[in-house]
Order: sequence, then C-alpha cells, then structure tokens
Amino acid sequence: MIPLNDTEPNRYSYFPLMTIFLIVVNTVIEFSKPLYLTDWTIEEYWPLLMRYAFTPQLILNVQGAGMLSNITAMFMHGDFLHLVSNMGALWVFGRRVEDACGPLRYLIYYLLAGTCAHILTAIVLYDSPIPGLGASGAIFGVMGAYLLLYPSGRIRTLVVIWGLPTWPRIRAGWIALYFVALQIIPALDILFGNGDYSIGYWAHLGGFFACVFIFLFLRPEAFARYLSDTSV
Amino acid sequence: MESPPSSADLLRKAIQAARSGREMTARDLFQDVVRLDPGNEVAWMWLSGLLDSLEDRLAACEQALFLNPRNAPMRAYYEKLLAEQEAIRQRKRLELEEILAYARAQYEKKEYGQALLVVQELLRQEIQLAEAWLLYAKLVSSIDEKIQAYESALRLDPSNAEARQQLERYHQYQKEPHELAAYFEEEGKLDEAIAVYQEIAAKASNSSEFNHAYREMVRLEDLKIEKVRYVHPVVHIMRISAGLPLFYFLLVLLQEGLNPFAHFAFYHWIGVPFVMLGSFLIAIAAVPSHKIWQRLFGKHNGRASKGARWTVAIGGWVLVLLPHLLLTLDSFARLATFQTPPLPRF
Repeated sequence: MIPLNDTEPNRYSYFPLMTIFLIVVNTVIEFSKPLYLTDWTIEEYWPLLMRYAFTPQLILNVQGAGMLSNITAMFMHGDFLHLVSNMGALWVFGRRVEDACGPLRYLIYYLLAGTCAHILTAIVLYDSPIPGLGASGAIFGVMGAYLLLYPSGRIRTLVVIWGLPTWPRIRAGWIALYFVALQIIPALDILFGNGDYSIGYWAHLGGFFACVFIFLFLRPEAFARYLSDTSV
Repeated sequence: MESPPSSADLLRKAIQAARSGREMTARDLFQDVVRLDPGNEVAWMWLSGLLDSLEDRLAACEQALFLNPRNAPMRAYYEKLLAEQEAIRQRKRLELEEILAYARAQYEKKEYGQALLVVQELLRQEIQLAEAWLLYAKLVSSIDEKIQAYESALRLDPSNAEARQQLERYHQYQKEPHELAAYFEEEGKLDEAIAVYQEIAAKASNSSEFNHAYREMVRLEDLKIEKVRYVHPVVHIMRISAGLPLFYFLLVLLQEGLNPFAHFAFYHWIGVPFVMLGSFLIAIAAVPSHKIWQRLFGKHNGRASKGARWTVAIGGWVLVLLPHLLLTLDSFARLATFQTPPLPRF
C-alpha cells in the first residue's frame, strides 16, 4: 500500500510552501552526498553519522552534537529509496496539515514531531550506539496530525491485489492505522525480545503520538472549525 | 360703555373664587391678572397652587420668588415642589432602568430584534439614559448610527469612558470599514460583519469595491451555514504561545542528555523565559482583534495594523531564535572537542 496523493483541496492557502521547501532541502542534502563521500563505505560515512545523525548512546552521555544532531538527523537519509518514500509521504500528508497551520507553525510542528520521535527512541533504546537518521519520525507526526484533522479525507493509494496494481481513494484513517499497526509488533519485539531492526519503529511511534501537539500550531480559523465538528 | 376691569378687581374676584372652591374660574382669573400685571406677586403665588402641571407650578413659584426673593413661605413651597419633581423623576428613571435591564437581558439572550424595539421605545421617553444609548449603539449595525448613539450617550454623561473610547474607535472605523467587518468576524458576530459589508457595498464608488464587499458577504454567509464556533482570542493566544516553549524545552532536554538534574546548565534554561515571551508576542501578532493591542499601542480601533503585527512578530521571533542560536553554538562547541567513537561490529 503506497499513498500517492491527497485528493482533497486546500482551504486557506494555494501553495504548500513549507512542504515543498522541506522536500527540496531533504533532496538537496541527499544529492550532495557525492561532495563528501568518495568510496561510499560505512567507514567513510561513520564520522559524519556520529556527528549529525541521532545516536541515543551519545545523546544520553552528553556527547556529540546533542540537540543539533536531533535536527540534522531529520534531514539525512540512508539512500535514495528512503528519501523517496519519506518525501512521498510528506507530500501526501503534509500539504493539508500545512494548510491548517500556516508554513512557519507547520515547520515548528514538523521539527517538534521529529524531536518527540528521537526522545522516545533515546528512552527506549538508551544504550544503542547505532545512529538513526531520516525524516520518518516527523512524517509520522504529520500523518498523525492529518488523521486528527481530516479523518475522513481520502488518499489516492496504490494497492497491489493479486499482482494487479489498483489506485483506490482510501480514507486517511485506514491508511494511518495501517502504517501505525505495522510499527507496533516490531516495536514491542525491540522492547521485550531484543529484536534487531534497522528501522526506527519507536521513532515512528514517538512521532505519531506527537500529533496531539498539533492543536498548539493550528491557525485560529482551523482550530475553531475543529471544535465545531466541521471540516478543518 | 363699561370700562375693562382693573387687575386689582380681577385679583379680588379670583381670590373670592378660589376661596369658594371654584378653582378653574380662579385659575383663569389669576392668569388674566398676570397677563395684565406680570409683576403681581400675589397672583403668581396663588397660581403656584392652582396650575395643573408640576412644571407650570414651579414656573409660577420661580416668578413669585423673582419678584420677591425674601418670600420665605414661597421658597419653602418651591423647595417642596422641587423635591416632589425629583421624586417623580427618580420613580420614572427607576421604571426606565427596569425596562433597560429587560432590554439588556434580551441582548444577552441574543434576541437582538426584541432588544432593539425596547431600546427604541426607551429613547423616545423624556428622560434619556446614557446607558440606553450605549445599548442602542451595540444593537445597530450602521457605523453612522453607532457614532450618533455614542455622541448622544456622551452628551448625557460626558464622563462616560466607554462612550468616549467607542466613539474614537468608530470614527476610526468610519475611515476603515473593512477593519470593522474583520473585527466582527473575529468576534464571531457574522451578522454584524455582513451588515458592514452591505454598507460598504451600498457606498461603493466603483465596481471592484462592490465586488469585493459582495464576495466577502457570500463567504460570511457560507460561514454562517457552517456554524463555526466562536473561540475567544485568549484561547488562541494561550494555545499558540505554548508550542515554541515546548519545542525549546525538549531541545534543552536533549542537550542535557534527558537528565537535567545530572547535566544542568544554567545558560540553557535562561532561554526559557525569552522563548516564552517571544512565543507570546508571535501569538498576539496572530490574533489581531485582542484587546491587548489597544492597551499596548493605544490604537483607537482596538485592532493591530499590519505594520504593528509584523513588528511584534519579528520581535517575538528574535526573542525565540536567540536561545536556539545559543543552544546551536553550544552544540558546535561540543562537536569541536568530539572524538568519533570507533565503528562497532554489527
């Protein structure tokens, strides 16, 4: 199941300025890797990861860049597929969340969701020396916000059934629940079974639960509409 | 041929008539006497007791006292009449205030039509209440009528601060009616906002002004159908003010290894009040109708101008970004001494 596009229009603004900006910045950072990587080995990449990716062990030992690595990690990606999947989801869910907040408040919410994702990761995986990177924690926060604000919004989604691609419009609630449900079992496995995963499931959950903070960032009209049980 | 009676004859006849209980005849005769002899104190004294209305009797007393200011019984009687007049006025005023309280109750219940009818009836009375004019100003939608109402309230009670403030405000709105419509919309008073746009459309000097007002009316009518709940500006300010301090707090926690007791750094936490103040300024810039604009900047119409909002927002962002910059510099300082740990074996 791959979300392709939000089919509903914006209400307050015409252009998702900050969503586009975030996509551009993430893409530029990913495409600038050849500037500092020559042989593309982990040994070459490692010092950079230690400095600018989010490593729970370093954070809890007050080493490395601290809060700066929390921000920079949100703009780094492992590979091109990682970038495309994250930016695709940001485009699908971010456009209307930005519309409901306004660009600057949306940016702060995005960074806050990413920070919550990292904090939960640091709490759960407190002794992990493995650096985490990617915008997915923040994007799960955006997805959670979308679920709260537009539960009945419909997302054009690519679904492959018996090898045949289809692209129905599926309610946002189902898509968000599907993606959150995918995180829960591996996350519990990490917590209780010491499972070894290369995906930040706890970061995703942390970002998703940060969606409750979206109400601090909504524009006044959107907040009044949310309280009035009318479409935000 | 019979000569006309003298004022002395008339006075004698009038007194006889009064003493014999023929009050109507006596009153007419006394009136004839004062017509012939306006300086006849005795006739004025009798008239002060015989005339029908309290105002006429007071006028007769005043005339008698004018002719003879030392007339002590007349002065005592005059003061008694004045007290009587004041008591009547007080009774009437109390009655009118009761009616005004009813009109206010209707206004509170949002029965604006009924409240307006009652207030209009009140304003037709001889005794005028400044408070009735203030309520009337709230009930009418036309800016001109509001201004007239506040002027009337000020005439009755020149010390009324509310009337003075509102009058200044609506004079400002007279120049910028769109601001008034926006203010009504933010206050959740959509009908009033629509009425203002109707007035703008009626006075429009060109088609683009008319079209703009018409589009706004259609938009507000849509909002009415949507039934969007009114949320007080204070709620928005508190809500929007909380986001940035929360973000900064989490960043400081991360900078201190999620254990501020073990790794406490004063210069991290000193940023909290700055971020809170900055965030508050950004929030009030986002809510232009809040009264704080009037208090801070003394703007007559009680709304922030775009320039003032931008200034406050930029000031707020500077206050917010400074502590973040400090945290970032701290991070770079830590990076300068950071030794990269060896690559673990996965």
